[in-house]
Amino acid sequence: MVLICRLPLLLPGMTTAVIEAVHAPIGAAMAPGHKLLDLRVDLSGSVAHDCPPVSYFRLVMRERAWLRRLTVAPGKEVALNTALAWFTTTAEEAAEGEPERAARIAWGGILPPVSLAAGHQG
Amino acid sequence: MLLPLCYMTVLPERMPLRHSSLRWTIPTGSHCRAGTVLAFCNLGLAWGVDSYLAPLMHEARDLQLAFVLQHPGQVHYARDPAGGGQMDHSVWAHEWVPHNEFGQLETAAPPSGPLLRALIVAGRRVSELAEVRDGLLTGWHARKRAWWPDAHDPGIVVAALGSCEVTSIMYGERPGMLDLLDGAAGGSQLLVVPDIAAVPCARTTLEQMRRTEAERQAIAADMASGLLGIAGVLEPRDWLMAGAIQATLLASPLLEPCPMLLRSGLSLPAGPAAVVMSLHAEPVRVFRHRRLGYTLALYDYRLRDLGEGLRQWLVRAFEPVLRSPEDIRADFAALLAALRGGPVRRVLLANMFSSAINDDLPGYAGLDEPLSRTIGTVRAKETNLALASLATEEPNLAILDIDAMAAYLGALRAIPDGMHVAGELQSLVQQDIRSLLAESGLWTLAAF
Repeated sequence: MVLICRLPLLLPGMTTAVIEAVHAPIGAAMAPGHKLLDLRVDLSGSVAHDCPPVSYFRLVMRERAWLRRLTVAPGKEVALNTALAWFTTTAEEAAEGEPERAARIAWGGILPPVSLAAGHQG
Repeated sequence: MLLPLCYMTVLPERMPLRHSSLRWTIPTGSHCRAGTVLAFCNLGLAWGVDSYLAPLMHEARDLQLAFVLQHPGQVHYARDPAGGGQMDHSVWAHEWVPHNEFGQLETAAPPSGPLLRALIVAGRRVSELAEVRDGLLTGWHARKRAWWPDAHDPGIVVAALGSCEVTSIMYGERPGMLDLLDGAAGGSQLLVVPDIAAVPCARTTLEQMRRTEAERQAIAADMASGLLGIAGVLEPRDWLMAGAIQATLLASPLLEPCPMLLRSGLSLPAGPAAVVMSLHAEPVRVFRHRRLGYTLALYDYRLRDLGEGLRQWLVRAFEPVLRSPEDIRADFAALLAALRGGPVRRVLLANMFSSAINDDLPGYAGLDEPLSRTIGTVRAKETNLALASLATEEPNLAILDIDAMAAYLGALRAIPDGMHVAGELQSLVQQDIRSLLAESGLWTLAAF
């Protein structure tokens, strides 16, 4: 069975998110609790604002599946509901055709990364 | 009955004032509540620049007076034919003449006290280039102050060190910081130091207090040589940012004088008796200067705004330092110890909003430990707890429990974007600040 992960509504008012980190390689056997992606949501992205509400989120698997395809990489900005990743429920099948359902994903707010060079603040 | 609205005596006779034309904040004929700012003007210190006035000189260009209505009624006024245009800004436009009438109040009930109260506000510009005289206390200020001058002696000074939610709570929705200042006794003063460039966390505030003149000179010299030594060109915005960072590092807002104009003349209070701070100004990571050892805390969005040149200097000169909730507790304990015996008798610390407004987490698997370094809500809860425990040991520390207030109101209503407070919550926090100050015997109501 092919599963898909789309960018969920992480905060009311968000329209896009920026990929901060990809935690799993293509082909990885994902299990509940495995990290998939970190994202940054900047609510001032559409309306410039001082002290913008910038939040970071991590997407985490809630089911067992094999990661087959990713359309994103760190730094890429994606719109709400954009397809981010495809999975299959068995190791052998190919991720072809229409996905049968959404992958079961959880998300939680995380603290920002700490690289000064990248301009991040914790 | 129709009662005259007049200029009042603000300073002793020996200290004449000049002022710009009045700028009205309401149309004539408006029905106004008590506590409304009716009009304001810029003030000129007409008795000259001398050493006596030196403490006020850095705020002299943004020194203003507002008339605050004390009795409800309908306000009438006519446009001053000698006003308008640049006279609305020029402090040399008019001589301040007490008892001169500038409007009338139409009211059914006779007033029990004065119709008007004067409020003085002052802003110290980050740069004199930042001339923004659009309104009352507008502009790019390194600190903003407001006080009631209707006293002979200074009263209590309440200081606040931004982050954004603290400055918003202090500024309030009424101009002149009246949400908090309204009703306070003559001589009471509010002082707000916003987070212009750097974040005022406990560690940097303590370092500012302890910094010697030699250390300040070393910081300035290091910045100058560091910025000149980078490869490439600094953009204009980077020079501005670097200047703002340096000004923050060299200042010490809790030790600087807070001069006031009062009925007795120029007065220097001992310093803030209470300080409002926030745990939102306590980042997970601060930066430590590799050679000089001082701390710098910057917001993420400020870092992302930096040009490449200034970023190069920061990367080269600083190393990141990650802090646990216990580290932050230790910083506050050290700050409180340093404040002990000085004028500051109360520190009001706003805690962090710790509920998740949009998480969808069935468990913490996949989130690296320690959770307080990964999940914002866990960190907020642990930091809140660490500081709550400190408050049980430190009688001078009181917690402004924004976390509980937001939960009471409903998070999406009180903090819609997950970090910035809406008006209802802001009003609750303001009430809490007034209550805590009153309980401490610091804030008294006006009796005039």
